[in-house]
Amino acid sequence: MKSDIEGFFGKYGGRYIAEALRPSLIELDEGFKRYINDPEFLKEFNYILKNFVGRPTPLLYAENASKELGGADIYLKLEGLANTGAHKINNAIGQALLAKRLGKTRIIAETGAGQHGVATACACARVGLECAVFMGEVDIARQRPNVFWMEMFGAKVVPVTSGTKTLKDAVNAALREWSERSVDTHYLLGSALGPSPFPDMVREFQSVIGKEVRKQFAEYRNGNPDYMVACVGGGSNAIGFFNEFLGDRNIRMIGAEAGGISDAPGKNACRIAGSIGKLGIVQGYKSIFLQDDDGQLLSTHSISAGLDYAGIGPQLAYLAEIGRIEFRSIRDNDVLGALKFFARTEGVIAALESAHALAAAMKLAKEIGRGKTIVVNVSGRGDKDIFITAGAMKDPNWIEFLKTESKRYE
Amino acid sequence: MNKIDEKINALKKSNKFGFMGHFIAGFPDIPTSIKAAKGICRAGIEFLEVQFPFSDPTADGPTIEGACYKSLENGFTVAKGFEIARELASTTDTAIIVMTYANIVFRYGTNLFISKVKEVGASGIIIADMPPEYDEGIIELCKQNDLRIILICAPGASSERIRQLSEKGSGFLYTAMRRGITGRKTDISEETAEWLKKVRSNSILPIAAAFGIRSKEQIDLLRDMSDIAVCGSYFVKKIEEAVQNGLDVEETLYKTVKELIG
Repeated sequence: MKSDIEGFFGKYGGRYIAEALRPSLIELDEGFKRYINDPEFLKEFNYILKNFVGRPTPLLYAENASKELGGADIYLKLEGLANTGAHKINNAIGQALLAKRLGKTRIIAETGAGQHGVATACACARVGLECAVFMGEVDIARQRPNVFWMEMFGAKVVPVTSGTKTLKDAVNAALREWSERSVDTHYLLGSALGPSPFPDMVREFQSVIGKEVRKQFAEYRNGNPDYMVACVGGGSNAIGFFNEFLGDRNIRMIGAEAGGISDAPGKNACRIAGSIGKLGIVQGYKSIFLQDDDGQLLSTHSISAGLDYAGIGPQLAYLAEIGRIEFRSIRDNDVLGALKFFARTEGVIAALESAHALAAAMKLAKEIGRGKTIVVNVSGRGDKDIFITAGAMKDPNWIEFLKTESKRYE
Repeated sequence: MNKIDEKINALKKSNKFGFMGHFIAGFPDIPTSIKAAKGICRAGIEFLEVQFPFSDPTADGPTIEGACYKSLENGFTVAKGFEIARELASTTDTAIIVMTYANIVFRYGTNLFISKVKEVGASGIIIADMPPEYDEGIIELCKQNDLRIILICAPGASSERIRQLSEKGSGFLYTAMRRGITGRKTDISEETAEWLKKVRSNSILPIAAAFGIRSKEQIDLLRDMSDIAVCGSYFVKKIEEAVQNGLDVEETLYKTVKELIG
């Protein structure tokens, strides 16, 4: 499914932008349409996905977990085994190659937790482009390891000190920079949102996930899975996972949103589940946003920085509206529970983002029972979260370790 | 007659150069922002933009974004914004223009918002992130309410695009003198002159030169290249300075404008 000629999925999407951004987006739109079907371009993209990203990523039958839960059979798409540890790299490589074709020499990107920033910095190092990543000051303070890796890849990390100093402000900063400088610079947006053609472009570069799942699932069983589950922040892993199967009406699709610590405003990041989000026009697109009655964006909370965003990609908002994808809210505590469960039973340490999808699948497996199948997109691995996870689990040995480490630098 | 048209006619008749001031409603707080606006208007300007703060103003630079953030922190609401606009429309002779972002208008309800702009006595509207292709019917609503919708044009636009924007918009064409965002000082270079010349020769509306204006020298240069000069971020700095130094905000802004337009 693609957007219509004006960039809409139903009533969601579009290109609501300041006039200064228009030339850049028109150029990108034309370039994307030209190269997305170009055999030479796709050949290079697929070559790098295979030999650098490490695709295809495995689809694991989680036999131990399924047995212990006593319900449906769970399969895990292990996107965390891609280079840099998450699906983000697929899109970063795709857009970096496209930018090169368009004659750009420099990439800018936004990042929240740092995963998209790391993927972009890595892609730029591989493809040979200059890279600057905008990151909120608050996020820099809590995600120092990712800053360290981005810098090692040769990227410049630019602190964003405006607004709430988090992801949405990093997006604003990147949009501003791009409106000023686009002759040599491409804005490599990391999620399936923003002004058209970004939602289409990010989906296309991520759709490799679902295409692999179709082949891999067929190797295990006949027919389609009964359920597919993915976590949804902006929605790039979800749309890349679901897109291939949207037409298979017998598959039910579940999006897991960050339920945070409570249903109160500011304590979660559920746009769709619970119907707290409202239709709005922000950062170039029309979709569902967490906002107050005046239209000011609300602050959000999630244990996972990657789901901590007030908006949702327009195609997912549309798929929610027509009932194709159902959304569920997953609390921080259940996320940690799912993380521990799959680590113990399957040897898979999921990213906190992806652990939302795992928690949703655990409940679902019991609900729907034996004989049914669920495929979960484990969009990233959890190594990056060790400071948050170990902190949240209040592991005394970990705390002692941090103290000893810090003493070494006194 | 719409007050924007009235002002433009008067400028044409007397062959005068126009001026549009800009301020952020509620910055640093509501009473102070009204004082600043009154000072700006008293200096004898034609147009005043009243910016309704939005949490994510992507077309604005750090100065205006910071001011918007402060205003929101201090309790700005859209309802209060309209009351500020009403106060200025009823106590000054300046054409009041509400400037904001798409989501503020959209959440309020486009129909209701435009009616409210009219009701409080403002004469037009500028929406930074709403190009005519995605106007949510606002261009038509403005026509029905005899309000002017001022569209923005930015470097990189073709002659055809300039013409199109001037035809779809009304009042005047807000022309960014350089790409990027508000705030940083613009050198009125030969390139700027060329760009303004291109806009002027393709626009069917008068043109307002904007972005980075903060001196009399710049404005004097612009007199021959455009019809109106716009000044915004500079006033934010002046308001901040006046508040910090305990000066009379209205008087300070009055003097600031006088120094600019001579």
